[in-house]
Amino acid sequence: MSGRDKIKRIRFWHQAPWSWLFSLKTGLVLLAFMVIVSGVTTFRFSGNVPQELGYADSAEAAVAEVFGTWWFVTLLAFLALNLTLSTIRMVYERILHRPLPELHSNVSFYEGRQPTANVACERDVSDVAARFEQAGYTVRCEGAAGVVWKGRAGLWGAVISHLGLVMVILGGMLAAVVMEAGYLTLFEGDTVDSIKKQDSEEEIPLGFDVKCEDFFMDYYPGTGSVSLYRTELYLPGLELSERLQAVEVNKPLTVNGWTMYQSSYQALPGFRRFVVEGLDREFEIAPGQRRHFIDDDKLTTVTLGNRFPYGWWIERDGTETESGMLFDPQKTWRIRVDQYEPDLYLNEAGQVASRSREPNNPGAVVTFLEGMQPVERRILYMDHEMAFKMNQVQMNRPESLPLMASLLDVKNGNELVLEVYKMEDPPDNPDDAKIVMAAGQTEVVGVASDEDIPDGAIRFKDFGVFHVTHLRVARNPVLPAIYLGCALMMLGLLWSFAVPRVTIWFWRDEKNGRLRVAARYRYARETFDRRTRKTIESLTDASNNATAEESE
Amino acid sequence: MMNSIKKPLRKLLLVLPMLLMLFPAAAQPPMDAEWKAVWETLDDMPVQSGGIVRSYRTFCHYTLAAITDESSYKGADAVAAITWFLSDGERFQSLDLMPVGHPEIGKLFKKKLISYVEYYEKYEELDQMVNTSNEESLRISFNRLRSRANAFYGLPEMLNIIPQDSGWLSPYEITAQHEARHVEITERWSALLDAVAANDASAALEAAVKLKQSVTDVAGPDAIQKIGLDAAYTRFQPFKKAALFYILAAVAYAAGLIVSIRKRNEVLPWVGLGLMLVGLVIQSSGIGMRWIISGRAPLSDMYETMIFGIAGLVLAAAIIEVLTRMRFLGLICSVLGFLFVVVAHKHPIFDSQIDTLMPALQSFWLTYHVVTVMLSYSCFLLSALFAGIYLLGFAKNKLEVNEQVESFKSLMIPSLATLDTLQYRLVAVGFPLLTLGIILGAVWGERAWGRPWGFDPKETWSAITWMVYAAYLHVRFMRGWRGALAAAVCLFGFACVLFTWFGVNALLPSIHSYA
Repeated sequence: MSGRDKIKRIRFWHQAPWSWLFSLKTGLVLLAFMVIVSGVTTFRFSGNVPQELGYADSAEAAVAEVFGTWWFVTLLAFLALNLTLSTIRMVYERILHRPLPELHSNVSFYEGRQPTANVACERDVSDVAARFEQAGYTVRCEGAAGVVWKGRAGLWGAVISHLGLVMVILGGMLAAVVMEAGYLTLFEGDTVDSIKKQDSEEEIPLGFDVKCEDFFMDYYPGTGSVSLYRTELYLPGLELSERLQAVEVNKPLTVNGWTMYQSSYQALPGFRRFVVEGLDREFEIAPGQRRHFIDDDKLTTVTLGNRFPYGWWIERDGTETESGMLFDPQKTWRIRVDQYEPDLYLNEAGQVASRSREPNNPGAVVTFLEGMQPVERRILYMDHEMAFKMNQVQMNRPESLPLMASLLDVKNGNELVLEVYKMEDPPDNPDDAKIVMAAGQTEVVGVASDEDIPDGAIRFKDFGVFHVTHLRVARNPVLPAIYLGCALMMLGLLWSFAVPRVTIWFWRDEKNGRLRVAARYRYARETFDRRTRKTIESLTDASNNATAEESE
Repeated sequence: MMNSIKKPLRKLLLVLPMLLMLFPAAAQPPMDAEWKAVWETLDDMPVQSGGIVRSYRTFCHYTLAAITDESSYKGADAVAAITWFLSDGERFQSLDLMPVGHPEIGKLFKKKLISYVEYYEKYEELDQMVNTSNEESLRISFNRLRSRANAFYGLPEMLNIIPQDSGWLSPYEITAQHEARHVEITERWSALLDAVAANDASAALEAAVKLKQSVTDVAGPDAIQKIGLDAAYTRFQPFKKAALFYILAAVAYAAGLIVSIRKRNEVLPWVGLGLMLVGLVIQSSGIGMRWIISGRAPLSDMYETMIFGIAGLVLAAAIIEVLTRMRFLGLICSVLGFLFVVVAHKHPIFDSQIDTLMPALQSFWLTYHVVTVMLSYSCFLLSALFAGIYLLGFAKNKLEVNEQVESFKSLMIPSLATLDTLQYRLVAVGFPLLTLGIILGAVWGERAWGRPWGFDPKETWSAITWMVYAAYLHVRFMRGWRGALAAAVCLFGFACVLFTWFGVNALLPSIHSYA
């Protein structure tokens, strides 16, 4: 009776009902079931189905309907339990109490294996065993037969990788319970101290304030493809040097255990935001907003008033040092040609586009600006007059200033001849109201005052778009454990696959003086490995034997 | 000799030159030696396209392909064709350049290649035809035709050769009010087009030299440092060259195997291996060039991952062939290498142009994640090949694992046992790589999206693939499965790999759809 049989008789895990719980066969059945369920789920919740069921995407639907349900989680827990128990059994039976390899002293065993050798050998079995021992093998030798082996430690690799997988599964399940996650929706200038859970109104307090100082985005030149977007945050609760931090895609920010990830953003073109120069930098600021900068360990705050002409003031370490106006209230009126299309139409997305390069329906998209502040955007068609009554749009001035604008002609393919004048003051000579412009150009069209923008520490440069940024915020204390599980899995796999495992049997047939050798490798082989081959050769070659003995 | 030709044919031979004189040869871009110097001068002129500063050659190559599906026009290369097109707008609009793609659209136009004018004239009719039809392939062809027309129509505005800090400008956007250096480039571009239109090669060469000088001066050294390499890469087309060597290698292997049926031949398979390795070196150099030009690992889309995967496959095949002398593997892998490169360049889901990276992909994790996953896929592909050959031999002879298929011997295919072992060893290499790739992907997902695992279809299918191969290893270890059963599981695992790689992108929309 072999040692393994003895274990089977005395251990409870070989008897029902425990045997299936301790068996990796159960794990394999579970894996097969999960493969089918997972595959079917991806097809079931694809296309429009998630939206029809009220989910944002297929992943959310799959989690809500399958992967996050009690029965799937139970299956996962059962898989983890099965892996743990079968690994314990493996450690007990195959590592700690593994019976020694059996000896074989019959011809049929050696002839039925591959690789195998049958060589003339005058040495006795103990000499053969000594040669293998020198080669690093563990030896068992009785009578005319012997067995040597190495690489059993490789089994620990399987143990470690299985336990790593258990850690990952349990870590994932635990994370679903203990992880706190939600979203921050921050307008530029907003400050919050809590996050909203996804799909719920419930708020989770962060324990510190987060202010969106700025949202910055950049495009690949000449395209509409975003190359970068970044949320700049001001965290007043932190040390001065750590208060200004940024979050980008792939560059999350961790504060007090909470990690913030850049998720998405929106542009809000209806809101005003200014690009200004000053304090040795260029930055954006919205009406009524405060921007913070830290220079030489000193806090500098810029505040902008919330009504035209937007007063500003600068505080350094809490003391106001400078102030001024961003705009001259009597600034000029301007027109800017944003876009010219020779054969204008509105495409499926409602955007202005051109059907061809032929001037079948010339049109231009123009923006009227008060000072440098855009107040109205319209499309001008050839020979169609368009009146702008400025008091009908959002204005910060009481009086009305109606303008008349029309596109008269297009020269040289892209030079637009516009006519723009104040309705209350039409020009005597129509040519005085004509302007020739190309797309991208801005021209003064009505003059209230031509004074320059007053000098000061803060100067207006351009208009920016107001943004709202969406950050995912999460606190997952289990994450290190999951990563440790992953690392263990990899370590176990590498250990398991890298450690060579081999068992070699030999038997000296006293009747004919021949040595029979057979081997079993981890990877099936048709021939012996080089070292074993040399060892066998050294046993059969008299000169080599002598050399070997001398060296000993 | 003439007397031997029948009388009517002789008449035709006499009349033919006269007929040809009545119909002048079709206009085409000039390609004689003088003109070649002009086009070569323009080759490495910088153009900003798709957010990247590229060479004029690359710009022309992809623009011509976008319009015509071809890399040349009537024997003229892309630079000659595009410049010649732009030299005469009216002629350009009337040239039959755009393939219609679908027989129904072909019926409407009564031809397979149409001009922009024809497209424009029949657009309403075409739009109506597509809207009243339920045929998806018609809609796809219509959308592709529309893309061609957009590429055609947008060509002048896409020709951004006038450098400035933000997006570069096209000469067609410049007015007299722009900066003098911008106006100068515009004037030189016009001079070049005038010379091309007048068929004056020397004037064109002078204009081309001046134009390139102006553009490079304004662009500055930083913008143009990789332009030469970019032009060389587009001109050389390394992956197509590699495919050529792969098919030559396949021919040598096939010849070697055929010859070996009568008498074992080792020379031709070695020639095959040599050709395959030359193809691999060219392909690797192409990957390297692409890496330098884009400034990132070329692993960001399906085209790039496919090209990388092919290189991994050929490399693994070459190593195994050197170790085992298994010549049949070289034949299969060189054929596969050729086919995959052809598919990557011909199928519309693959875009061979170097593109910008979206913010989510701008991470060093991209390199590690994709490299490990693609290497694992290469191992799984090879193991599936061995499993397939094993099953063929098994089905043919119903042999045990340790037996040798007699007919395989002549093809230098080793025994079933070796096939079984190789298949297993490759999975044993591929599985840890896949595990590592998935773990790296999870770490990257956590950094980019705030969760290591989201059950996105791509993620789910990668887990399915992982589970299938885990099961494969366990049934071998624990249950002792070898031979046909193990080979069948291995093939099923590779089917999962293929679905994860391509099927998910095509059938299951997800946040990984670019990969």
